[in-house]
Amino acid sequence: MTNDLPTLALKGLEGNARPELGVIQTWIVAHYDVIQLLWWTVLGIVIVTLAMKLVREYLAQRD
Amino acid sequence: MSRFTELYARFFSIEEIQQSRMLQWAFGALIFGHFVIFNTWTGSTATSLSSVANASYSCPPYFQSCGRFFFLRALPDGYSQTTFYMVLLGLLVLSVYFIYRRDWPKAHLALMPGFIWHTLGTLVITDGLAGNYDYYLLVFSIILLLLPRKEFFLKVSVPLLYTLSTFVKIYPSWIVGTYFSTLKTGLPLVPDWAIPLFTNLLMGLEMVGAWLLLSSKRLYQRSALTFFTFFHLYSGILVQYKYPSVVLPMLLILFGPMYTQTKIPFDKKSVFGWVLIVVLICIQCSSFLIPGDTKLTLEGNKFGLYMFEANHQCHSAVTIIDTGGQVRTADTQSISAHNRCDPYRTWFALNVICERTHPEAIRWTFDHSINGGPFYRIVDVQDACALHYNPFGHNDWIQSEDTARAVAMPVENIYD
Repeated sequence: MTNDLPTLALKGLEGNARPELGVIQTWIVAHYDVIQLLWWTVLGIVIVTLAMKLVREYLAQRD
Repeated sequence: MSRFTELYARFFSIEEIQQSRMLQWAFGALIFGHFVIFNTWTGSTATSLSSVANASYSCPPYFQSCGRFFFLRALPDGYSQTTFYMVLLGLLVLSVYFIYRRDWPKAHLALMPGFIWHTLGTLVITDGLAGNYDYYLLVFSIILLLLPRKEFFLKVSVPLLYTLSTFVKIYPSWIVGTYFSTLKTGLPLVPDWAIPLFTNLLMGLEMVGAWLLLSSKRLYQRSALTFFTFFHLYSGILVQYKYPSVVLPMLLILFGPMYTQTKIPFDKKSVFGWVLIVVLICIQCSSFLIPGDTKLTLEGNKFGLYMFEANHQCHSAVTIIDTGGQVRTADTQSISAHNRCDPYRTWFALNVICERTHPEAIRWTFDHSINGGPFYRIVDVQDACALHYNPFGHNDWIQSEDTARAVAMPVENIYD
């Protein structure tokens, strides 16, 4: 549907082409939800790992 | 040492700086960072009385009356602002002199006015000065100037800030790489087809690899240091000097030849540092609580790091209908990817006009495109003077992608 929209080239951008997705980008868009979830999972793992290291270190120092 | 100096040094844990060569170098990097920032601020009209007079100023959304506190006049309207910044430069130089004398309490004291002004300029008195690098400098300054256990928290702050910066990158801008593929010039030194590979790799390294800077294993630690050193030099091709100048010296000082692992502190003195870390994480997460796509609405966008969160271009059309029926129109556009196209900024400017000239109505439409996607008409109101802006939540008059009408498709833009 968005392809039917008129092109708006703001002042200073006249003559530029519409942005188009490359092959890899097209594949990523098709799997976007999964990849996004993967990144949030990685971020979650990093945070949990750091938190666990802190707790272990805290307990070790308390002993 | 006088009684005051002794108390001052104890209050700000300055003995830690006196005893650590690394922190002494970091102190120098902090002075350099303030110099780099003030070099830009001294010529800016963002906090000048003239910007209030000509209604070009902008306040933070949570302190919309900031203009009442402006007291400087920037060139060409007066000399007070440049005089003020020359005093700050003099104090930075004085701080360097006290470092030479190894008088750390006085070096610290001489840097404090610069730190306080930088904090005010970044968070309080204007919406028009700060960038993401200011947040980095602010965090480094708070830790090194104010908090105990400086070395540990400075070291943790670097990977923490890298990781926090990825919170906003889990988005098509970086996952698909459309921030850069929308630019006519693409990503520097990277072929267009490889843009998403590069952006996802960088996200991974900022999220996971950054923590290897703290590793006790020399290979991992040095590999991470090498990568982030090159990353900052590379990023400067796009963002130019300020961001690398603030972060790179601190990175090299904390994780370069002087690096040693620091024991994690859990004593009473370390509480302030841990609180700072929790606060930084909470602030970074806060914009996720605001409904809608905040990259499009820009609501809460500056709460936390927002570097390269989305490639923006926008078009604002305003029709002012005066009480006498006279009609004036104003059309503004922004094509630079990193100019945030925040509807709040336009609303703020219109609100000043409303307060000063009491027009009958101001009709306003605001079209915003991110990452080469459609221009969405996110604002379409009959009278902007009737609007209010809530800085901590969603504003009903700003539409998000699910309710806004797509009106046009953009072309490739620029990073200016």
